[in-house]
Amino acid sequence: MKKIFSSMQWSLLLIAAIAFVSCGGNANQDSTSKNKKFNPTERQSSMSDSERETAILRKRASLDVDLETVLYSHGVRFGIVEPKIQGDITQDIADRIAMKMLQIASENGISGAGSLNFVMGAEIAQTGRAVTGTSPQKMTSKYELTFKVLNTVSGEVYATATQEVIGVGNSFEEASQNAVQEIKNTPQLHKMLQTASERIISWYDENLQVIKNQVEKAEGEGNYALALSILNSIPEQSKEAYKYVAEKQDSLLKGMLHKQAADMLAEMEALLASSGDDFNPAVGAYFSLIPTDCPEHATAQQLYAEYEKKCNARRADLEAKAERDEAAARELKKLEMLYAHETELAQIEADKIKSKYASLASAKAAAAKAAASRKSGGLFGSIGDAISGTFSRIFKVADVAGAALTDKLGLEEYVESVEKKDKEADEF
Amino acid sequence: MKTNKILSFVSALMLLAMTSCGGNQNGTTNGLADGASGNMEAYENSDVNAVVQALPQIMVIPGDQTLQNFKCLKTERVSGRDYILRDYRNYMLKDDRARRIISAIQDAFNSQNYPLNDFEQTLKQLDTQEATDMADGLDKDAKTMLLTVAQPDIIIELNYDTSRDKMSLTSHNYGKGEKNISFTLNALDAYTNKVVATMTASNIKGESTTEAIQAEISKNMPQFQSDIQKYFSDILSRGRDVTVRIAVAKGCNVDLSDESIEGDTYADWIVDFIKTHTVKGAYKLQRNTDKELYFVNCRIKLLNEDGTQYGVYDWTRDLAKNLRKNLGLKVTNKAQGLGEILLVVENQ
Repeated sequence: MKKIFSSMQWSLLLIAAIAFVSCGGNANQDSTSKNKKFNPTERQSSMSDSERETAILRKRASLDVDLETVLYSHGVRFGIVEPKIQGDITQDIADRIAMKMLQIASENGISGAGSLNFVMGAEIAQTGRAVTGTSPQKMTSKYELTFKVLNTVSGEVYATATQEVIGVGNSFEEASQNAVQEIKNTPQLHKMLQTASERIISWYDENLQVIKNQVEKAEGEGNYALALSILNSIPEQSKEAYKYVAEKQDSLLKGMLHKQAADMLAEMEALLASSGDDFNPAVGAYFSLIPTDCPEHATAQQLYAEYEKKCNARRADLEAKAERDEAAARELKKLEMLYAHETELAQIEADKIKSKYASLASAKAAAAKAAASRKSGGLFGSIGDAISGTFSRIFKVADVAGAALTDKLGLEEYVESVEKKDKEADEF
Repeated sequence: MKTNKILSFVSALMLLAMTSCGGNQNGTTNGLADGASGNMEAYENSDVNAVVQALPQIMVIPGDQTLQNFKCLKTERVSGRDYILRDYRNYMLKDDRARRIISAIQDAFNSQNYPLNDFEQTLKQLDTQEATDMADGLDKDAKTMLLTVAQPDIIIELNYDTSRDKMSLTSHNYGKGEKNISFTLNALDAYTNKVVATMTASNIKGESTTEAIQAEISKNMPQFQSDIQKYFSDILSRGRDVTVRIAVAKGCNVDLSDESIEGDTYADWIVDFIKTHTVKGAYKLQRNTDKELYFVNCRIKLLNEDGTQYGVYDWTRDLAKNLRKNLGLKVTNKAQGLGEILLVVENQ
């Protein structure tokens, strides 16, 4: 019995000893990491504080955009042509690519999408699709894009650049959409746009007669907005051609305003009906765009005078009340402020209206040109379909481009009307 | 008699020490967190364990065979190539046993103080991350999107299958024979594709698939975990096993077979670097072309002299520094995870 008890004690001791040894955790630390304590040393730098400051400034400067380089082609314009819809390239993706091209063009100093004679387009080829073995799985789509700047008059390709992009997504459709985000403004694209811009500037100087023919044809057809749009696409760097712009643009604007006087009057009447005796700067804008020697001017003048009378009556009424009523005083103050800004607001409204007409004419002309090109089956005919589709969408963008048009409009009559409004506001 | 007393005393003392070393079981506290305790100072003063320092993520992922059984795997031809499409989310919904089996494995690892990363939760987290990234307006390139996936360092691949004996002694029992359950559990190193540990069982009889697999897992888990521990020990002894890839970017004007400024080729120079910067020179050259050098079974050290970790990024950084400084090459460090080294030679 004594012996058995002793054996049990020995067993207990053995179990306890094993447990004691093992409970310390695994002892697999060996030569690679044995006896190594964690004693991290801070990263040391040999730079002094002032050296560091200078280096930071230098680095920041290197990341800034070089304006001299970017603005090299200021004034050059061309249209953007969407890629052909095929395979994974849906209308949505084609739109995104067109917008991306416009963005890249702007980043490189191309000032707008208003020209009919030059377009930037892209041909897209799908070069691969794949599925990853990860969880979740990802789909990839690879494309090769060839960007081109074309002269639609001669059919010449002015410059090209290629770029390969890969899109990743949870489906192939998403991968294709994401591939558009991967389109970057590369040095190759920069060079392509620079080359194209230089050739475009030269083309305008060398082909002044072609431009004159286009402008005069549009003018002869009474399409003043289109004629102005053509003029507006001439870059300032094309010195000879730009002289023609200075000569021609005033008369064309006058012609356009004459032609659209009836439309302006109708718009003005509609606004008057909705405005009542509330001040609306757009009314003044439409009035200022109706030339004085148009038959519509007399009606417009009478309507405007009545409108002013109503506004003045309200003002007088408010003035009378202002003495008694603080709220009316505030309303009067608001009205006075609005009148003070009338000229400025009216001009903005007028600019908007003018660009709308110019853009519309430009888009229509581009679509017509594309249709003609398709019929003739020329070099440019192959992308004719794309152009007509694109211009209807790019029309929205062209509004922005058209806004720049007004910068160059120094029409005497327009200035006079603005001055008149200024004077009236002062008197008021 | 005296010896007996001494033995009893020593045993009692050691058992007391054993009990206390398992952690503090403070009986006076009631809350979950109140009962927790730890000694950070002691932990910080202990030796560095390189595996713990960069703890590998382990994740149980359903295998292709199981996905196939639940019709969550299909083959699709894309651009002339067949790809396998795996619908993991759908599988997790369809297979009600999956959660229980995976939980049994996770529980076994938890009891060894090695919590596993949950696959289903990782998928959910990736979805959430995608949405929050969108809300934060974060920029993502194609590579980032490709890498935004579950990336375990060790994959535990689970495959299981069930069938019934078709033949029975009596015809009215045809097709109602005993249930046969088979399963495999493979632990794989995600970077080297090496099998770290396996657990296999076939023709287990039982009516409940889940219970049968759970019982089998419990039985074999100690051996399975011991194999994984051996793998960790091997890392600590011989360094981390990594793949090294030196590749040339598209359109780059340099080939690896070109002559460097030192007279020999860039490839010669890189191979010499690998010889001297791997643990005991362990590496195997797998591919050698003008555009790529690919090495497998490369062993790299785990720690710096100061105890901070030394991983694939640091190794690639050292190689990049040398290539820039000594040969004037423009290179980019694209190392990923714990075992993937990629250095890209850019246009000069």
